[in-house]
Amino acid sequence: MTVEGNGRGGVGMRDEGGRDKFPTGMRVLAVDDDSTFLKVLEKMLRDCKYHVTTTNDGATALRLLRENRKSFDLVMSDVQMPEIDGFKLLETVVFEMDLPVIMLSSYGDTKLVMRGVYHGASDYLVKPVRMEELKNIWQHVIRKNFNSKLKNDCPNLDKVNDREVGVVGNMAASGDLPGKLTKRRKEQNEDDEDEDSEDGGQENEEPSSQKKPRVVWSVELHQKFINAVNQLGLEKAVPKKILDIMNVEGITRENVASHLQKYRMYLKKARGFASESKDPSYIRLASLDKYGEFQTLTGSGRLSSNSSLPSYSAIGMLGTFNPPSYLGLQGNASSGVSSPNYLQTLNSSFTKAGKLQEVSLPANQGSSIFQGVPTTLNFNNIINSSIKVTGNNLDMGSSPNGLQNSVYSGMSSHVFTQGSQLQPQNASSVEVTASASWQGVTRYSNFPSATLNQHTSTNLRGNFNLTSPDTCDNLIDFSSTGAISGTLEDSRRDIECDGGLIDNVVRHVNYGLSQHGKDRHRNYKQISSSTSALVPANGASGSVSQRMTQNGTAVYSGVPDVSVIPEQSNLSGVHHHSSVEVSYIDHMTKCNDLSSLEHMKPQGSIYNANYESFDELMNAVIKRDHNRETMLMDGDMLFDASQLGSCI
Amino acid sequence: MEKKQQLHRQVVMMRQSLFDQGYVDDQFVQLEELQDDTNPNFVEEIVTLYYRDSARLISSIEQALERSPLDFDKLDNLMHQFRGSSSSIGARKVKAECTQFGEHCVGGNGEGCMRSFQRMKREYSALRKKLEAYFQVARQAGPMDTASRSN
Repeated sequence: MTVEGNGRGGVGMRDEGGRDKFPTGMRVLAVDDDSTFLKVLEKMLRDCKYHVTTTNDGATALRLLRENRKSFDLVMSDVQMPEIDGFKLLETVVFEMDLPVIMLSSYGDTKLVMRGVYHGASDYLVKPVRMEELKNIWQHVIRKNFNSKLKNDCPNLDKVNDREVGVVGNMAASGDLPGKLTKRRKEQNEDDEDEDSEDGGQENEEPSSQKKPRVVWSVELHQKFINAVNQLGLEKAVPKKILDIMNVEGITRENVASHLQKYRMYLKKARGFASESKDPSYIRLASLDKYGEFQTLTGSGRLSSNSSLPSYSAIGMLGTFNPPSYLGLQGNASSGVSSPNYLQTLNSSFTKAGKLQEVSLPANQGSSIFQGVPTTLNFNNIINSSIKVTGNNLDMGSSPNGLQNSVYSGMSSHVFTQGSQLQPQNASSVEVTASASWQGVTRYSNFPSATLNQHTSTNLRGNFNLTSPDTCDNLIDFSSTGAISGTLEDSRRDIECDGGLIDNVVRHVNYGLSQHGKDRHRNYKQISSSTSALVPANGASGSVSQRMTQNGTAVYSGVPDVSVIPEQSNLSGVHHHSSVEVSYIDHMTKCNDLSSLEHMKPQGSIYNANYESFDELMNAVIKRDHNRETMLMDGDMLFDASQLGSCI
Repeated sequence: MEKKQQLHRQVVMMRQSLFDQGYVDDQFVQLEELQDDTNPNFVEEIVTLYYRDSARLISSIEQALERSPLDFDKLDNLMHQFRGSSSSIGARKVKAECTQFGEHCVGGNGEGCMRSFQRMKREYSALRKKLEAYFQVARQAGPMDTASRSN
């Protein structure tokens, strides 16, 4: 069990001994040139029992932060300030100080919000701000710490990832990346236990540079990498040559080397799955390397046995370049994804523990694809993220799907669970989280939910068939997601999505269940589009993968995998994890182990219900009280590690 | 005693009319809710701060409106700031005029901006008068529930 929900570790409450009282005493730095607003905000924050520091001036804010990075837990800043560019400030704080930043603005239009997300904002509040909105901002701190902790669980992987992450700024500047796909550095700094090792590791690997900006392996970058590798042939692919072919500035041979290493591991896993399956699609999956999947895989290594939370963060981290090992695949390398088929693998994951919790642990499950499937996916995110789906995002054909996608499917449960996160206000708070945690994913749920809800329901309605166990058709559900995303397009057309991850996920899901039917594939396009759409939403995460994770994974998680699960008898374990997943599983598999549902989180009334259709579920989720949902997601999920862990 | 009661009633009435006449919106209530024993004059303090910010911004806008040609971006920017402050205290009508002004800026409509600005200044003055009178009576009446409650 990692984070106990009180932000220990990176929150900085340790010093004040207020750790146990978190979020009480959370230290906020508020920056706004509008003194009137600032004073009101200050009072509100104080009433929330936070510790507040204010300044009118961005430069002062930066100075305060630089003086002592650890002196604040959260920063809130207006994005339109005369003296200093709010977005630049945002980026600096996010990347340099690695603190969650909440944007403030009088304007709530999509473009601005999107921009905020791209620049790394954890949330976006529209003025005037209400007390209710401030009551939950502490979640961003927890989320960040959580993801950081997950990362720390796999320090080696972390180091590699961290090292690679960071050149985003450069890349973005050079126009390689859409928008500012800068990845926020994980809060390694704030985690004392790993700080030294992290630094040491980094230094060892790159002796020539000190704090080299991390390379963020965006979807585009990864695609280039893949192209280079394919061109050379996997056997012959060496970092130097790959680097030459890629011809990208800002990355070093070392970056490529470590990425290649991870990629190889990923392939090994994927192929391990695929080779045993007679289904050609599996093999195809294995050979294809969808960025997202890959990331997932690499991230999965992080899912250590420490906590079930990793599974969540893993999912969340799908979006982030340093994916939490939610997939647990990496860690499972040894445990042997040796099961003959995908289903069995999954099954074994579940059966082993009876709870997804174990499944999520890489150590336990060789192949638990569900690992790291955060149950709290942000369906809302998907819905809410107004991401324009551009045509090329739908190119399912080119994006390889990996088995890793299945992980995403696990995450789709999040989508549903997060549904309730939708806020009634129009874009009043868009939570963009760079952290890959599921919480982060939920952030998007705050997009103008009104529009999305309608879209969502409509879209989902036709697609979910939760009745039959081997309804791989459930994968089709993704298509509904796609539909949703389509709708999203209406509202937001600004984001271009590379769609890699999501495509992968979708595809993966489809492939995974391809044994059930081929016509699923047609749904992929839709799904992929949706996922693509979703990806941009997570701009904050800095990398496409991150974005996608947040949105895409949410979408995918759980459902497709769930459909797989039906094959297995021991679904009860699954039930425990994510209410959404459970419901899906329940529906899909006709496994009426409803009693297991009862084990769902208390607040998860939605989950306990036996939804007849996804649509129902979604509606229920959407109707849920925001705060309650938050609690459920954040509080319950977060603090109930066992359940979280089980949510794969 | 009766005087006190009368004053209290007056405060309640004046407060109600602020809402009824659309001078302030729900944000004003948010401010009132922030007022407590440790900050007994919170609302008035915020409003005073608002006057200060507004004076500066209005003056800047005025200067900008005297330029030729008009710098709509700058005007929009200034008005946006003013709008933000106004919304912080719940100044509904003023905020509406700011929005109008902003639209004229976007449309490059100099005349529209001028007119809007004048209207905005009128609303601002009216609001200020109302609020100042209200706070004065409120202070006289002494501590009481600022929420709309009958005595």
